[in-house]
Amino acid sequence: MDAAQTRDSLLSLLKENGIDSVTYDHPKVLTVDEQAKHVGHLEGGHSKNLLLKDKKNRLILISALTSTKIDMKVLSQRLGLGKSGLRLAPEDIMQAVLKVPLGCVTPFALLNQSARSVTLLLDEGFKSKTQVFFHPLTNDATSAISPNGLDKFLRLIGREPVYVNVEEVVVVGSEQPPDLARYLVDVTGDNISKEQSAIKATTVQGDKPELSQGTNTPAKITVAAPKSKNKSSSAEKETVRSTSADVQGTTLTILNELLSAFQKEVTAQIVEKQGQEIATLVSNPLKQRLEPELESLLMAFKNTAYTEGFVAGMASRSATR
Amino acid sequence: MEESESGRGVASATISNGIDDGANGVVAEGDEEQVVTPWEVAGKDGGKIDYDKLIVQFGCQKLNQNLIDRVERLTGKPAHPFLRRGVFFAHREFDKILDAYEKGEEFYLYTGRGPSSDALHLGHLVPFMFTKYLQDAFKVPLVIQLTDDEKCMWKDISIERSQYLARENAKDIIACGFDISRTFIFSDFDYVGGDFYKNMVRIAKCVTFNQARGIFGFVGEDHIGKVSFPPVQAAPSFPTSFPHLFGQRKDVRCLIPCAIDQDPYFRMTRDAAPRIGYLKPALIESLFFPALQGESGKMSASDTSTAIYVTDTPKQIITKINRYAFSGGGDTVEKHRKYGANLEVDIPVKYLSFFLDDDAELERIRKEYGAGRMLTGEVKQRLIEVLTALVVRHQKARAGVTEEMVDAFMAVRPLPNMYG
Repeated sequence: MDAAQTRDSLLSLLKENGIDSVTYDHPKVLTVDEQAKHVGHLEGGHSKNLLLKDKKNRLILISALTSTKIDMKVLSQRLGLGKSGLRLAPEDIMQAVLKVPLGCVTPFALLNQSARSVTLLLDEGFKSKTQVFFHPLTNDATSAISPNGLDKFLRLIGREPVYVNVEEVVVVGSEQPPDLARYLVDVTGDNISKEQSAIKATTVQGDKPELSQGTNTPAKITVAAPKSKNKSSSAEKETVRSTSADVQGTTLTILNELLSAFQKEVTAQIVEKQGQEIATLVSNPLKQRLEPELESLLMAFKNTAYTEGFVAGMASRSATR
Repeated sequence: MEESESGRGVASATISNGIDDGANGVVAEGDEEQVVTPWEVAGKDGGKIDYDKLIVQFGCQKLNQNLIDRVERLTGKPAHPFLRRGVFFAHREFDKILDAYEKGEEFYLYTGRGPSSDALHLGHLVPFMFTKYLQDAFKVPLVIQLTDDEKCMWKDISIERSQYLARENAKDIIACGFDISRTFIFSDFDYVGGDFYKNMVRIAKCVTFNQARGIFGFVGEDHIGKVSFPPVQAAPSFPTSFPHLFGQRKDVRCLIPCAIDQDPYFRMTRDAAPRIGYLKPALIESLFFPALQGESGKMSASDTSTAIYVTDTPKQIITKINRYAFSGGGDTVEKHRKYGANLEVDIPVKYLSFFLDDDAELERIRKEYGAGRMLTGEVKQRLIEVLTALVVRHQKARAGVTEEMVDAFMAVRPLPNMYG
């Protein structure tokens, strides 16, 4: 299956699997603006697609609405690659992996076996469109497909669609781990079968609700909403409040913090001191980095649990039998 | 021989509004002495505070290395950076507290805040961070007094507003990580009465108007609310003010972590204590937290560029440090490389000495920066990292504090595991 997929093989695949699409032919275009001249008037989400690579030669395909701002520095950090870990992939890689010509980057190219270890990140802005537009493996046409159709296509080729807020400026620091790092497909792509990578992507995505829920462990019991002064300044945009001191959430949060800190330390240490005992070198700064965070979390947890007991106690005193 | 409690009374030319934001402070013209009172802090000729002189002026003791070593020995963990770095630098009878602890006797902590604004800055957090460390290290209970009445009187805000501010401040205090099973937070408007009030009256009877005037600088124009306030801040020093915690016990010692400008209240309290059959409270006192603009600058709640607030975003922290933090570095890179940085006045290094936990790293920064090998920008960058981590952690914790949690902290309830 090493031969490049073509427009025809793609469109047949879609048709055979009941995925509706409409394809518009036009002269060859190399840029989004040129493309817009021919199909821009059509209603829906027009896309810009970037193939990026990191220092370890992992490839990331970012597919976003043309109106979405893409900041490479922010994305690089959100992917856990540091401030300038992302570059546009050179043409030869694009052609070798995606098997499409310049100006033709498209999620459809992931149909190719050679592209199995490319990470795909889709703009969540696509989801609200009735249809979205991509090149069908050739520059002289644009195909429209519904977001559901796109998802179906991706699942067909063994991928779980990943939608993210591409534009969001997430400030990555010791409090905020790289939020997109979890989606990066491992570079040892040769050993990862399509099914395995699909499973990995699914599991990771499935974790997401619990992980984000667990970052706050408050108990918000009654209706009286406490005035939170931190609406704008909190790194989490989560306002999910569990109704009880969340054990699983806290555990996951602790593990999340642990792994994120470990990741940071290992990267720094490997760069500086290759060949030395990484484990011992890492564990001390790791502990230093983690201890205040975990301690703060657990104290908040304890206070929340106590408060629940207190409220229950107060209520039981006035409860009529 | 009884140590002199009152030292030299600190004369202050005028009493201004709350020290917390230092706004509207009026310093008398041609002031020779430095002025340190609960409501006003000013260095000599508008310069730095001379802390050694202050210790002599007040008559308290310098906290020496022996005590710090002893704390480490007794608690089995490294002393808090604030101790190691001399942020908490003075005390009264802290050694007696350690003696008691060693013998297995119980003591409790007492600290407080005057809720004058809902914006807390890092300087406000310092005593609370230290108190939390004490609570965790010694495993003792803590009472936290919110002097909403004081602010109502001195800042001339309404009772409702001061009560509201008290609750809002309580949330930030709770976010510092106090253990609810050992902590009782109370506001004066809620709690004054009963046994607490009885102690207030006992204390008040021990202090003449003239003494109060000498200690606090009251003048004829001051309203009588102010004059009668000091016993309110003194009463929590005695365990019988908290019957729900200590019953009728008089033998539980009290340790008060506070900024050194609060010393006058407790000098007065310590004078009164033996006369009413109580133990004198011990004190452990801190320096003032410098404003971003430098030692001679005052942190002001109305000028947000003078301090880092717990509500600041990471971006605001970056801007404030880069733009406003007073640098002791050279004017040009060449001069800096040649002469090094003036660590005495450099704010980023000072702030790091408060908040950077790693002693080795701080030492390295001081050395390299002082020699001119490290640039101001790098020091500021490190500071930004440290402060951002702190502030973000605080905000996270703050977001988790509910009204019910505040109610629970402030409920008059027994704390059965307070020494557990």
